[in-house]
Amino acid sequence: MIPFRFSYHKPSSLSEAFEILSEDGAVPMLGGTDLVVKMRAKRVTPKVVVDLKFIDELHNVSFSEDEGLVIGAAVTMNELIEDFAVVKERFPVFYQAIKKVGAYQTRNRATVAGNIANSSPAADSVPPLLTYNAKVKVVSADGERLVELKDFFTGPGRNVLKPGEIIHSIIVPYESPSIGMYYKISRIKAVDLSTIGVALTIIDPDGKRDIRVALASVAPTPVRAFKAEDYIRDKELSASSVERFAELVQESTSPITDARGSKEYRWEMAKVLPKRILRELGLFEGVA
Amino acid sequence: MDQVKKSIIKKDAFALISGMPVYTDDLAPKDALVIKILRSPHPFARIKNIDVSEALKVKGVELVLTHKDVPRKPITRAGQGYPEPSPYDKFILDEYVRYVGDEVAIVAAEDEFAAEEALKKIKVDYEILEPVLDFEEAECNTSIIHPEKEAFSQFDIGYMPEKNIAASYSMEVGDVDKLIEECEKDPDCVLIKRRYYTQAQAHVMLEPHASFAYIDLHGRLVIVSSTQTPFHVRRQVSMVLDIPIKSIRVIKPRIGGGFGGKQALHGELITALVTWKTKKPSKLVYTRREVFEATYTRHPMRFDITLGAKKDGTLKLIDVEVLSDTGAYGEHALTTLMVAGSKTLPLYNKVEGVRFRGKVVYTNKVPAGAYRGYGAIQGNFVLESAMDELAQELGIDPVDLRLKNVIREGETSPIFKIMGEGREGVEMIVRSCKLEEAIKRVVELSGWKEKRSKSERNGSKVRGLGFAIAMQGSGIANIDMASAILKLNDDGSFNLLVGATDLGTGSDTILAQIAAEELGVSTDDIIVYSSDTDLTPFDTGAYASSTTYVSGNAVRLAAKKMLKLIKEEAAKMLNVSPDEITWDGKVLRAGDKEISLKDLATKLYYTENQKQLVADASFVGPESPPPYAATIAEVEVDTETGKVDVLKYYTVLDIGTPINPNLAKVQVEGATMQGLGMTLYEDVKYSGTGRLLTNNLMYYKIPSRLDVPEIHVEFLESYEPTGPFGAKSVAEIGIDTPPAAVANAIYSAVGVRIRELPITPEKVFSALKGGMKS
Repeated sequence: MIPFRFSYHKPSSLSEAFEILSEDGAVPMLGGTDLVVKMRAKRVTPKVVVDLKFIDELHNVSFSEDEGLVIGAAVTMNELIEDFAVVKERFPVFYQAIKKVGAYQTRNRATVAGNIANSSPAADSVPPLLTYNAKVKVVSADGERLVELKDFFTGPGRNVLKPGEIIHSIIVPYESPSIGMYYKISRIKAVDLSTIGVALTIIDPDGKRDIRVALASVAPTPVRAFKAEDYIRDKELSASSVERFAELVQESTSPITDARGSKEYRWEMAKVLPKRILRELGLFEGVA
Repeated sequence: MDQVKKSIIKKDAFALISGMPVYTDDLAPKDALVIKILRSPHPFARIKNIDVSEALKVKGVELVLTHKDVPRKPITRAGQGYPEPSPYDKFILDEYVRYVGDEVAIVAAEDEFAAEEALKKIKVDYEILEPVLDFEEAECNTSIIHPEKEAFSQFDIGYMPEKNIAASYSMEVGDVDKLIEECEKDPDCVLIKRRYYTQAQAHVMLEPHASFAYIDLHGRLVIVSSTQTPFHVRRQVSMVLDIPIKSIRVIKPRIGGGFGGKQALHGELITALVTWKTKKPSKLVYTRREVFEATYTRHPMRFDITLGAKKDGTLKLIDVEVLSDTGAYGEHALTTLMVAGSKTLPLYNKVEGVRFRGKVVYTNKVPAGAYRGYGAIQGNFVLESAMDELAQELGIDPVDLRLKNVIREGETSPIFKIMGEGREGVEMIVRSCKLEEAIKRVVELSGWKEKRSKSERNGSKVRGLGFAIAMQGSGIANIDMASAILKLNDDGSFNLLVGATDLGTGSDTILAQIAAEELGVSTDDIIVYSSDTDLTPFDTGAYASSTTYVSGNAVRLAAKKMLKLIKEEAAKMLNVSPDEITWDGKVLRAGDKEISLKDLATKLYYTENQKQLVADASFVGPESPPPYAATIAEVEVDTETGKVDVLKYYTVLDIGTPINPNLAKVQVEGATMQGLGMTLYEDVKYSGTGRLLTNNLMYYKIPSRLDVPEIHVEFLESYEPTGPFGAKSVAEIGIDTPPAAVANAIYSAVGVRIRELPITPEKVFSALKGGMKS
């Protein structure tokens, strides 16, 4: 059980939610897959829990080539990937990463917005969203603002959300067809956090070929390897260029040792995995 | 054979899967006081002062107890037969705290909120002492973990608290030093010396430790607990709290897994104390974090092993030296150490010399205790990895090396007599042993010969096969006692009362099958009631792979007596002699006279020769016949990441007669997964300050459903003449082989030898690359 007393509310509109969220010690909740675990462990002890999943407008999903994919905050991961084929078709790396979050049962409740708001460096859905230049629409009683996902995180469990602000939706711009892979190393095959996760996305693979890389669990926040991307842009994928590219990906990380793995292993894998993904995509032959 | 060798569905299966309230916490009185424990934040400290006055003011708080309020009597919580081979080195609460998680104070309150609130208000002033966190530096450390003069051992177990040694042991057959010396000089001899490490492991049973207590109408103390050992609980509670045994009743309801973790007493002493003091019902359900931080782990061990063999593969000597880490308290210290030898060394019974020595040291860490496999898995990983290394040195197929040296039916080993559990063992001829046949069968099943001859590579992934064998025991010979009572009902059904403890294993069903087989009736007509110290006869409990063999024998003997009584009564009714009676499971006949069991039973109750037929029997195993396993694991190693995937796992076992083949199979599958968990995933990590980091299921990982390989379990039937219908044990044997089989497979795939469990991707990667930059 949760070993302290708190009140639980389920507002049906944003304005009602904002009102309750203004109370002292109030926290928002979506699927609860992070929050409830933390509450049970007494790591978070809110006085008021505001469940946002009964607000209709947070359940919207839409896609157009111009507007991109818009994911309402309360949409569960399973709803998103099972009910909206566009995710798999247009954002394949994001799709793969969602399937690596927790277990199927977790994804029945968990949301992408929650994964972002929790701001764990290990969030599996985040690296691919970074490669797709996603944005976060933040709302509060005072209005709304759009934050680039790359600017959203400020540290482990920390982000730019101010008290009273919640995530309204995630906007994933659509640029062109893409291919890629999310490669997650974890100790066991399900219900585990990543020891390292690497999203490598190739935007417009048959045209301008923009290779983008972002990583989980190797820095205080999920990171995008811009330097490596700049280096490899317009270059042939040769043994030496891929090697240098992988080194630059590695250099974008600053791993630590924790219960899931050592900083040394993470450092090594930050170089192995980008090469490996390129090979598995058939773009490069050689050992990783 | 109509009721045994039959996969009957577990008697409690429907209740369990339909979610009926059958577990301890489901059954606790709703008004029970909720108990919470204040636990030490320091690995080693002395409580200078403890102030509970503010805690007592919290509304709803009934009681707060500190070391000043509880009897100062040392005990062992091990849950073993009396006198226990474990030091009496624990107090319910003590002035000293010896690990992060050790009990400091007990709070009982109306609800969990009040109890939690009170915990926060207890003020403790600690004198922080220098902890011993590295078990290799524990012996003769300047920090002495058990300086208290009251602690003692019941008999000589090599207990030397002044040196931080909880137990020690040594034995030798032949002159091993001389054999090593000869081997070193002999060009026809190969000698290998290796060091291995095994880690702590958490049980992760689904149901946490839970107990509640209340006072019955006669003023007696009733304890309901998720325990594997109700009779040991009764004895220990009586001893520590000075309540007569006759005033205590212990009941075990359904258990959601134990794996040895519930052999010991954890919450029972506390619920008993609170209820005895307040006369109110109380309950204590451990949080998952408490299960990790404040119950037991497997004993981590360091092994130094030397093997010597002739170049033709004849094994000459085995020398094993162990250092074991028992954590803050010495429960099971000596016996897990001894089992590391006694349940492995007899496998190779033809050696000229064998030596086994070891010490078990105290550290300021979570105490180690019983865990399925108990010493054997540690010893097996080492012996069977070393045998693989030896085979490599000798250039002999690892299977052939085993076949040349293994124990066979009709043979014995001096180890059986020398090493028991905590004392001398018993001489024993191996009456049933199909190990050789099991080895041959697993080789065939797995395609060992074809697959070993070519290495299979797919990109960065390489496959390999590894082989290991194992043995276990069936109960503790001359120590474990079990008993059973059978009672005839007026419809011809029987109540079977057993002290044996079904902890999810299905033993209630298996014991009913044994009774039914002997009586010649259907298992449906046996109503089992188990594990209640008032109503069921004594049983040492469910540990040491004992229930099918020890309790099963008691049940069979009781059934035999019952059948004799029935025939005698039928003979009286039919006016014939008992020898003339024949019995087909429904009707008793003599010539043309007959009476159904139901009619006989009804008459006995109400009209003729009135009496209740009751039969009882007790059994102590004169021997502990080993089951055997031969295992081959097929793994795939990713050379770029160091990840190891177990693809296929073949294990062929000799467990004697499988009484319930399906339950036996799932025992082996479950044990295999726990063994694979220890091999590949389960890593217990501490902070530099002695705090357990892996204290929840996010940090501590056991295999998930997706990590289960293709497991092939096959039983090669043997017949154990001392077992019930030829049965031996199955509970633990399955856990022993995974570590060595997988380690050997990894070596076969990529040529790296990992001698320290768990075999994480990092260790494999680092070994492949010759180290990692830091």
